[in-house]
Parts: sequence; structure tokens; C-alpha cells
Amino acid sequence: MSSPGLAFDRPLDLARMRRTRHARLLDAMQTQGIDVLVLLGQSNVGYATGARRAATDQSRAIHRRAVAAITADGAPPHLWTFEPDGVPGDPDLALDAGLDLEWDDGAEQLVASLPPGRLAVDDATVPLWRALADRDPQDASGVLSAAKIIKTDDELECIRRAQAINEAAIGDVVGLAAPGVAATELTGRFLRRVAELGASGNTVDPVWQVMPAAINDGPYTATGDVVFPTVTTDRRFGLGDVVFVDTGISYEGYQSDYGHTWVIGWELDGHHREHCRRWLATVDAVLAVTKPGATARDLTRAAGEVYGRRPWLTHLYLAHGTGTDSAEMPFVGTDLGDDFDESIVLAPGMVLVLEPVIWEDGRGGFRAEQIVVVTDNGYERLSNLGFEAYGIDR
Amino acid sequence: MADAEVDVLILGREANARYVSGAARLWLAGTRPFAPGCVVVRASAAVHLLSVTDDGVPDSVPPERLYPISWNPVNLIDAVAAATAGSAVRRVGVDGMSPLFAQLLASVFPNAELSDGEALLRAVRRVKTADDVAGIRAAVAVAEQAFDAVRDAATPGVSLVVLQGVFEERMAQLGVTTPAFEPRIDVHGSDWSMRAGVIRDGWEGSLARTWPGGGAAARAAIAAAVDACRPGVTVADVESRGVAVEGVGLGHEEVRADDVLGPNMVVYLEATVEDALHGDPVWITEDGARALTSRS
Repeated sequence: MSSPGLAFDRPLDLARMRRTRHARLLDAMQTQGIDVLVLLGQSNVGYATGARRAATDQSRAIHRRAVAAITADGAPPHLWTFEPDGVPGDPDLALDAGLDLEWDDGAEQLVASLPPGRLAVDDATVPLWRALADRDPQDASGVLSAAKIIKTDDELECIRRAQAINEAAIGDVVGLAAPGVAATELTGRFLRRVAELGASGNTVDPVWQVMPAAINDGPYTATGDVVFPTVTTDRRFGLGDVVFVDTGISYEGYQSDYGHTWVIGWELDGHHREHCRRWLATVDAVLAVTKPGATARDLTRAAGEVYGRRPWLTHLYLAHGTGTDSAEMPFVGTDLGDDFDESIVLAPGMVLVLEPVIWEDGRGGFRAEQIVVVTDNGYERLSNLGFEAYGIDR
Repeated sequence: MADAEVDVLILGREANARYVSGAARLWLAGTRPFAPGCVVVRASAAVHLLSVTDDGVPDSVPPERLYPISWNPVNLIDAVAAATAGSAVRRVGVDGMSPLFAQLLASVFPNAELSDGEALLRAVRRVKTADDVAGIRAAVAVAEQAFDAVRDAATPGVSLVVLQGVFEERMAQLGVTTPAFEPRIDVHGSDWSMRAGVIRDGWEGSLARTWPGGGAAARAAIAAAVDACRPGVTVADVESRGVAVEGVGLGHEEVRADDVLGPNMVVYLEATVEDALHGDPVWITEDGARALTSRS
């Protein structure tokens, strides 16, 4: 049968990637004094074991979830799964049948099989929480973010490939965005193309949000800021609509993140072009200070203010990391505040998805996403956006 | 909540939040760690929802009961505390837990005991209203049409991922952008088999089919199992006929072998006979059961 997937040039060694991630988890466990790490979050289970998870609705993902346990003695990761098809062929994985943690019997069976010691867990069902009562469970987020925040070359290649598939699919969708076309038509074309191009799955309901000119023209906002994202409906586009696009797919467990702004009919005026220019200038200013040793606060300072406001959404961020979760550490510019940002120090291997939002209230705005990895002396771009439609050749 | 003496329910699971609020929020694949995404207070009967907007939120949850997303978990716990202000909280129902939120909840409700909110929601969600059944039926109708598109496209030599894409494209053209799971398509000799489903307005419509031939035995097994389904029969009784049984509603719902079928439950039955698959969602009525498909 013909395989229509995208081809890639750079090398990728998945077995090496899994070994390295396991070693990083062990390092973080040792540093933080954790003997047993129990993982229920499916992106965390995938990180720890390489188990591939199908992109399912949350209800099924919860009830048929794979569970992993990592022990500080360096023993092979223990995986309980309902989907043995998705398990990598590595011999160094202790494999068992899936456990249903929605019920006391499954939860007690899991806890009975865990070795003694200081235990951390990322998430729990109520039956599991009860079964762990005697173990004084610690929060696993410290271990996970310490291990996951620095990407290996193999992880970066997975992100590059996820992004390449996402961008290629978008290339086949953009021409469909015209007056009279329903947003759900774009979703259909997108979902078909990412499957054909070799994505492991689509991980977010694609967003094609028609933006108002002013915040007060849009839906109710609990923050006072621009509402984004909203759920896609079969609403049809009109000529001149400004559309914020946001999509994400996965490749070997790693997430893409494509954001851009489209103008339906592409009859641009000076405001559209100016908003795009200011977005590019904001990204350039942030990237000019992006290097090892810089803090997240340095990045928000470099972004400055545009049209009298910080150029990102108050309920989101200027930038977020990405990996096996579409938004993970490091976060830059959240409501955790400037002091928190001051504490985040960039290091080689950290990935940042820069997503400034330029908003000129009354005239709309521009949003796109640029993915970079911090390198030894600066950064390297992992996503490739085009701005030709705005008359800008980059 | 009154029966279980639960004073406040704190829900992190999207299907539970949707069940109590009716709100459509952005669909994300996979699991998310527990966090207070929706709060139900027994004393006021009020539903509070994590959302920055009322877009997709029904009028029954007015803007003053929306609280915005925050990266600081303390802000989320403060929203829970504000929602319950003035009411005595002795018992808190949750549908998940993490060490972080256990600590934060203990700071807000120091004397409250935790109970299994998932078990409560599972029991409440199990018996469907007429509108719920109509919602599942409408989802199934979309899945049926998307299956038709795959049948038309399934010609010798076509890649299985292309057919997966055809299913999802047709689903979206029909106005539904979220699959229930990745479509599973197999080819055995000259037969195709596929299991696929959609989530439409929160409701799951899933099917399994085999074509062009070969599926007769599996189809007959489901027909016989549907005939056997009626109030008072257990899930194990149905499974003993060689079919798999799942609960269906706002996505996948849990049933166990000793659960007894009752009126207005909906289950998904699937039979596998010699590589051929057949699966239908089935509505348990007062005196029997019927498939929620528009054609047999």
C-alpha cells in the first residue's frame, strides 16, 4: 500500500530518546529524593516509557489509561497498558495488563505492586488517592519538569517533524479559507491532511476564530482582555474577516503548535500590515535576548508594550515550552508574575513557543506562533511561518 | 448530591463539567491533571465554570459564575472558596486528585472529608433523558455518513491512513470536528473493517462495520445480543453472548460486569467474529432495547 507521509532528512533514534528520558527522570528523582514515581497523565506515561497513546477524547483516555511506575534503583520502567500495540519493542520495559483505576480493586492492585520509599504521583483517581493514603504522596510536577524542560536532539527532531507535518497540512488548508466557507470545512481538510502526512494524531480541535475589531464587540470577557480561543462552529467566513488560527498535532508523542493570522480574501489594508510588522518586531526583540542565562523576565521586558499594552493575552503568556505536552515549562509572562519570570533561567535545549498578540482595540490585531530552541549561544527556529501575504519576505 | 450528602462538587473531567454546565469548551485529546474546572454548590444549586468567556456557555451559567484560567493554582482554589462562601462544607466530592490540590483544598476546607465525585457523576449520568438519547442518535447519524464516505473511498491499494483521514474530513464537513478516538481500519482479504466514532455536542456516536461481505456473523451476534438486552439483565449476561459492552454517553462511560441494565441506559455492543467487526450503540427501553442507528 502506498504511504503518503512526509519524508524527513535528519536522523531520529527513538530507542536512544527513551533511554535518555528514563535517565533524566532518575536524575531528577535522585535530586528531589523521590524513590517511586507513579504516572497517570498520558503525556507523562509516554515520556517515561515510550508507550504511544492514540489521540482520543478525554473520557476514553481517562478510563483506558496506561499507568507507569519508575523506581530510583534504575529498574526498567513498569507499564500497565490496555494497548500493547502501542508499546515500543525495547526489551527494557516491564509490561503488565492495563489496570482500571476508577475502582478500588484496580487502585489497590497498583499500590500493592509498588516498592516502598518516598512516592510521587502526577494525578490520581479518587480510588487511587484513597489507596495511596498511607504513602504520603508528593507532587510529581517537580521531577517531571526538571527532566522534561531540557530537550535532547531526538526530542527536538520529533518537534521539528510534528511542526513540519502541521505546516504542510496548513499549506493545503489556507487556500480553502474564503468567503462563504464554513470553518468546519477547514477542520476537515486539516484532519485529513495531517493523517495522510504521518501525524500520530490531532491533539486540539483546530481553532479558526473570527476576531472582532474591538474587545467590546466580541463575546463576554471575564478578564477584560481579548477572548481567545473559542470553539470552532460551522459559521461561514465573510470577506475581510480576521481569523486567528491555532492548531496542534503530535508526532511520536511530541506536539506541534501552529498559529497565524489570516485575512479572508486577503484584501489587506495598512492596519493588517502594521499589526503583522509589529508582531514580527516583537518576536525579533524577544529573540535578540534569547540565549542561555537570560531570564523569562528579560524576555517579557524585551517584548515591552505595543499599542499601550503588554503584547500577549493576560490569561495566557508571552511564551510557553512544548514537548510531550502542548504547553509545558518554561512559561513566560503568565499571571504568576514578574518575580516568577525572574526565577526562570534559559538553558540550551529549552523550547519556547513565542505567541505575542498585537491588539489595537477598535482595529483588531495579529497573532502567530514562533517555535525556537535555546542553543549554546542563542536560538534556532523550529517553525517556519510565511508572511508573503502581508508583503513581507522573511 | 443531597443523597450522597456532598456539599460541593469540584470537577476536573470535561465530560462531568459538560454534564452539569452544558458548556462547550475547547476539545483537547488525552488526559489532563486534576484541577477545579467546574464547581457545583449544593446549597445554592449554582454551577461555577472555569472559562474566560460565555461563548459556548448556556445562560444557566451567568457571567458572574465564570472564573478565568490562572497559572497560579492558589487563584483557582480562591475561586472555589468564593463559590462556596457562606455555605457549610462538610463533604467535598472530587473526580480526581493531585498532591498539590489535596493540600490547597485542605487549606480552604480544613474539616471537610473527600468523597468520590466520579462515582456520583457516573451514577447520575448513566440514566439518559430523551434529549440525551437524541444527542447520541444525532452523533451516530454523523458517524454513519462518515462511514459511507470511507466505504466509497476504500478501493484496493488505498492507504489505511488515507481512509482515516476520509472519515475525519467527512465528519468535519458535517459540522463535527472531534472524533471519539482515532478511527481503526483493517483489511482482511477482500473485506474492510472499521471502528470509528464522533463526539457531537459532547455526545459519542461510535460504530463498527465490516464490508463488503464477511460481516454477517458479527452482525447477527449483535442482533441477538440486542434482543437479549432488557431491564434486569446484567452486563455479564450480555457479555456471555460473546460481545463486548461499554457505557456510552458524554464519551466513554464505565460499566462493570455486575451492573444491571435499566431503562434509558445506553451501551455500545461490539462483536468480533473471524476478523469481522460489528458494533452498535444500544438504548435500553422499558421492555427491551433498540440500536440507535438510522439503518440496521
